[in-house]
Amino acid sequence: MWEHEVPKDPVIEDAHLTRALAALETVAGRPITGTRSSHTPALLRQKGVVYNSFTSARTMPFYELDAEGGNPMLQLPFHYALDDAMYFSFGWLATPNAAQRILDVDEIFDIWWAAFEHQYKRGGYLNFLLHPFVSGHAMRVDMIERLIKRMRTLPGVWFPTCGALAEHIFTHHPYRGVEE
Amino acid sequence: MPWKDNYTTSDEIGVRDGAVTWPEGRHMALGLTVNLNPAAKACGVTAKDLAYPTWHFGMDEGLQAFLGLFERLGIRATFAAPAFVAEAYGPQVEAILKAGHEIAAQGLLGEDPNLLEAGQEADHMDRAGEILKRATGAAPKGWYALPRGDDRFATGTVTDATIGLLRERGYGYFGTGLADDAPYYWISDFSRRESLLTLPYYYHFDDTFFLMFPHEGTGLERPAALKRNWRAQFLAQYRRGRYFNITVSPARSGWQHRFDDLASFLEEAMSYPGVWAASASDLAAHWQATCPAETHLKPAASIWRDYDDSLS
Repeated sequence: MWEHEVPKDPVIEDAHLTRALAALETVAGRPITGTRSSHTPALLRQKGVVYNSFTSARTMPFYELDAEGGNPMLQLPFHYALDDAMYFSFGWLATPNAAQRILDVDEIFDIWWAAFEHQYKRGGYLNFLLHPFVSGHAMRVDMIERLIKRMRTLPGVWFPTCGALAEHIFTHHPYRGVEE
Repeated sequence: MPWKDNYTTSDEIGVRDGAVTWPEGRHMALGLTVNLNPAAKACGVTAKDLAYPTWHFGMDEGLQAFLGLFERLGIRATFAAPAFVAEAYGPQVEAILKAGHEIAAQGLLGEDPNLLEAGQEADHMDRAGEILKRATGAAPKGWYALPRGDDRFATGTVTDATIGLLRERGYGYFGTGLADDAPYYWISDFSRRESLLTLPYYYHFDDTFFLMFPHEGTGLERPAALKRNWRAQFLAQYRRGRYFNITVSPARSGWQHRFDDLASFLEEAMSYPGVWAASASDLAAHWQATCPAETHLKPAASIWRDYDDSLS
């Protein structure tokens, strides 16, 4: 997204996505292949974006079709329970003061470890969402280091980028169409 | 980082751990802010705020407990007071100063300057400065804008003009900055590269948000979470040799078991070698001398462009 919001007008949406990808590719020095946004799947595919990470409809990655049943898009699910801002940011998503429940690092360590353990036991998948302005604070960097170190005590945990994970899925689990 | 009009307040360049130094080879700095603003709402102190028994407790038993603890541990704290409070509580101001602590300004009435009519902010600031000078014997060196319980944001409130007005009035630092975890420069005028030294504040270390937040009686009481945050951040910043600030109020953290939490945290923190628990003006003076804006503030030119199809 160019402005953390997707324009409703398709012409403006195209212009925004084109600008956003150009800006990110300048920084990254390589093509951008993934997004977390509600951009139109057909437009994303046309621009070379082949995966999204913008749903909690399933726990494991899956191919999502658009309203017309086309433009399959690989979704790498995320969940708000694995989003640091949910726990650490005051007023997140315009919540009122009396609804604040800002938590400390030990509480989140326990929640995230439980989530990891649940998926580890089934050989599954997790996608954490960390904001540098939230989790970049020193105590949270320490907590995340502790969490990753504990994850690495268990055998066979793979820490890929979303792009590498998407490539793996395209290679080993390509889209085969809708089963009749 | 490139400057972004209406979005950024600093150069967004963090200082590396190894580049941070403290006086006499000390390892880290600990800032202790004592919030003396009883206001719950943006308008500042009201009769209702002053009628709370816990406010009276805070200015009496709570404050005495704070002063005793700070003296025992060799901590110099900074009391952020609305000018009205400093004027109304003479004996308390005298006790705070006598113990070697600093009193800094927190508005005329602990108010949100965004609610004032055009031109009134400068007037309030002038009156606050005069009152504090009269009450403490010296002009305040620092200005705070700590968040109140009913504020919609946990950041404190300033206007686009606040930092420039403080500069013009000779303030040495602004005490409520969320853009870094070490002191930094808040740019008040990008074209002239004018700025004011700013000391970090973060609401995760402020008792306001953990001890009956947002209101006494119905609010969330989470003293253990507050203490865990203090310990986790202190230990991380100690290891890095950086800076850590906590913000407490005698009305909240002076009370019984909460005071035990504050005392045991500060006892543990001060047991580490090389912790410099200094007043905000001493911290600011050190930073100003070792990392002056002339060499350490490096804002890059703006890359901002307006597009016709922008949604904002």
